[in-house]
Amino acid sequence: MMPIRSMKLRFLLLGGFLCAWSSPGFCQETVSEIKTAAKDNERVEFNNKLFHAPEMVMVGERPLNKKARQMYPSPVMFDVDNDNRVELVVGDIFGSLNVYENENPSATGDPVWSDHVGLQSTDGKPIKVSNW
Amino acid sequence: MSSQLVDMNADGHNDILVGSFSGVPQLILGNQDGYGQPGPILDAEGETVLIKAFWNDEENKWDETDRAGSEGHCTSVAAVDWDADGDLDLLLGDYYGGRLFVRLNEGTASEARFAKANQAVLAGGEAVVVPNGLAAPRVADWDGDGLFDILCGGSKGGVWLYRNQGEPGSPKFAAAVSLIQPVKGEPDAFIKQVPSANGRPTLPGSSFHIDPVDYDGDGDLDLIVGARSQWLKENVKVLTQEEEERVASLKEKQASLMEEYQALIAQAQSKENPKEQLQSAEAKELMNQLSTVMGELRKLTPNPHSSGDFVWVFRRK
Repeated sequence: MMPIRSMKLRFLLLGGFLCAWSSPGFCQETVSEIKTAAKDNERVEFNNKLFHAPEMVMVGERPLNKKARQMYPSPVMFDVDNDNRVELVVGDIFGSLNVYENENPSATGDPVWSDHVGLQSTDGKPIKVSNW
Repeated sequence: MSSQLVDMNADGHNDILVGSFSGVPQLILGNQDGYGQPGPILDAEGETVLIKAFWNDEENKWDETDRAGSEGHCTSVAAVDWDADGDLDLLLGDYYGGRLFVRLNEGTASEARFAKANQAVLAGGEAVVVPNGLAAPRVADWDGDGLFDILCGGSKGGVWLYRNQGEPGSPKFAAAVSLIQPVKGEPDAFIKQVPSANGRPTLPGSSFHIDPVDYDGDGDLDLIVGARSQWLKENVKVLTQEEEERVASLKEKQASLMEEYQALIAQAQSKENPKEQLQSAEAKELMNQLSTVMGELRKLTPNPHSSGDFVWVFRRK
């Protein structure tokens, strides 16, 4: 029986490579495309009636997911540990669930996120959602 | 993916409902001490809840079943009392096709008995299809009218609102309203390219996993979004005329060597011992040349893109 983890890695590596290879901007990048892309790199205005321009959520000075490196992150805010404070819980494609505590002592204003810890079950084992 | 804190079995402890790329939503039951380990959600007959595609653990392969009467690959889930009968039903999201289904709970709040089949969610009289795929549906009373609405993050970016114009127990959804447009660009791009500043992207690109929440405590619903982005590195090298000519020549050489190598492979396949020919001095020499050409090409034209996964907040105006 083929190990599932190995299958995942193969899928991701192969899929990632094929997508990267077949998408403009990677291995097949041409010189003129690079030049055009450099021009397109200028900031564009975010124009939306309902929302301000998006802000990257940070832990201190670094992007929130920089350390955990979760792929396809799915963030939600809820009180996962029943401490009457809302945490940020982030799932991903590999089935991990990371918890960021809100360290803002005030009930108002933006949350201040801590470093993440992996969600554990009552037996102390990491909770890992089956994916494939 | 797309977790939700919700008391699925009415035991007074919150559970965590989670979507999974396996095609089967999972439930992590809570108790007075914390949480157990995840398990698949089953229907009234003990079969896993899904849309159609799923990872077959027994045979270790992707598989499909028609038992739910629907098309797609379920990667996201949200619980809601759809028919206001006091128990929680499931919304199931199809990642690639953008379809959305409801799986009714025909049991009770404490003892769920999910139906065998899915029903397509309708909006504006037609089955919901989120353009270019659905990363995650969420349920919230977005417009404050006391009815739950559905918000969907797109797998190629963007956020859509399906406003509930029905009545409690009989939801009826208006056609989609775009709350956030997907970033422009190649619609089929694996990760959408976005602008950047100071070496970081300034917008989320693809796979919008959303959650409507009052992020800043100002009394309205904002959106937090987990997403993938691709952006251009700063100081992207611009080639000199001489380098451009060298790149063009190397690409020609690369194409020609690839042709030769493919011919060698085709020839080898017709032989009794193909491995031998692929390990011949001729094959090795070809690979060496190809490797040298590609190495020089990589130095001259390095990948100008970076990509990564980030969490964003869109604050309401």
